[in-house]
Amino acid sequence: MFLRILWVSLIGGLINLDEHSAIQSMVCRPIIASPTIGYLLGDLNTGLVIGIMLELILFNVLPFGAAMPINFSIIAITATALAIFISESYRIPIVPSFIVWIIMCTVPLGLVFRELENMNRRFNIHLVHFAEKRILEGRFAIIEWITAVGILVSYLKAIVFIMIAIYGGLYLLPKLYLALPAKVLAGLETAYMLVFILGIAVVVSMLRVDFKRKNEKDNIR
Amino acid sequence: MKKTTFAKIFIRSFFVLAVGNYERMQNLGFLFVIAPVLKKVYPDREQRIEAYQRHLEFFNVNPYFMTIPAGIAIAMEEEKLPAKSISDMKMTLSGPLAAVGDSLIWAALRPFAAFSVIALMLITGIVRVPDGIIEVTELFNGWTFAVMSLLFLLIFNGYIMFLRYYGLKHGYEKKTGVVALIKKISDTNLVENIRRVGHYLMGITMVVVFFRDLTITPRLLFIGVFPILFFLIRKGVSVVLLFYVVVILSIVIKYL
Repeated sequence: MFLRILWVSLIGGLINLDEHSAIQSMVCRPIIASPTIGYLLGDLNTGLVIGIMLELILFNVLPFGAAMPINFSIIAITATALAIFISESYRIPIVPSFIVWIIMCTVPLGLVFRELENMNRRFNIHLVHFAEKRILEGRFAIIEWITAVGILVSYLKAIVFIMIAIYGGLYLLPKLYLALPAKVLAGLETAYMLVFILGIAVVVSMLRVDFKRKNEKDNIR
Repeated sequence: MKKTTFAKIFIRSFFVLAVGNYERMQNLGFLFVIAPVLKKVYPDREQRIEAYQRHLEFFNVNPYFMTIPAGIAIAMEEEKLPAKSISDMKMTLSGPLAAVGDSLIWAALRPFAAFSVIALMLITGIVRVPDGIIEVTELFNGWTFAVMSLLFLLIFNGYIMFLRYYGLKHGYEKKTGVVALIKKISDTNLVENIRRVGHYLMGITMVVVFFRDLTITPRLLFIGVFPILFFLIRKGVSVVLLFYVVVILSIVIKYL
């Protein structure tokens, strides 16, 4: 189990790097990240289902300007890993109520990690000041070193966070889920469909074209 | 600029946010990107120190467009133009490039690329939604996932690579023509066209899912709940908050 969690953390950390620190190829989006983690853990289908749900509901989470949005890759990685690990260890079937429960419990991790990202950016100010002093001394290679250190700090931060989140989730979530009353489970079952509708509503709101405005433009011409 | 230097700068542009900070944002990243050229242009130690320091000023732009000011800055440094003009150029371009980047990449291309994968899976039936529950059919396996992921990554990164490469090349070769380039990017109907295709794809997907997968009760639920959620999202209500509200309401209703 430890090796699998370590493996998820190492790969998940790399996926998380793609969100801000390096490359930004959108491998960090839930639709890619979740199935990837699912594939690593031998359950691609669960990864895809969670990936689709998260991609839909986090569809309009975007890093506009200098804003730091909720960290969607951490949610995707931890939700998929926890769903698969808990299902295997406690023989809980991956039913809609379970998926909603896992997503409910892992979304706050994205908010916590956002604060860690903010702390990381504040820490990076010290790295920049350190680099500035070395540049004044004529030690120009510091630029490449500090860039590498910046990436390494982000990577280690993600690895440690994912490991703690998975171990914490493995300890807390199964007990809470198994203790849920039948009506709550039934409510979560219904919530799955509503969350899917919510996801469609988010996508429509982002991708819609304002036809009325287009027609007004045509009239002006 | 030599091809090897161009390649170095192109690759370095992927790491502009490695040391992103709230004091001066992408300042060190920008310096990291153009450092190979500054090394050649300023072999004198004191001049290089001064040049490096100059480029540690505040800088923030959409990361996919940063090769444009980088290319221009490199060209201006090679011509040993005044430091203030280089600094002014970076400041002037940051705003419009950030705006174009946000509307083109974050608000149009990325959502379209991501949704096109989901839409393809839903329309082809690789993923079905019987009664609103996502069901993965046996058509889905490692290979279909690889193809779908590549589709998303190619749609998105294909255009990004073009932007990064052409931005660097055009910025370096035609520095004064960059304003016209930015105007050309922002004037085209690209954003509108991407959203239009996404809009129609969305429509087709909804029709397929509604009539093929949903039975009567989920259809009624969809018709009843979708407009309320859509209205709230348009009003700016956080989707994360709506998620929790929807879940909690679903549980509360079971107790009534």
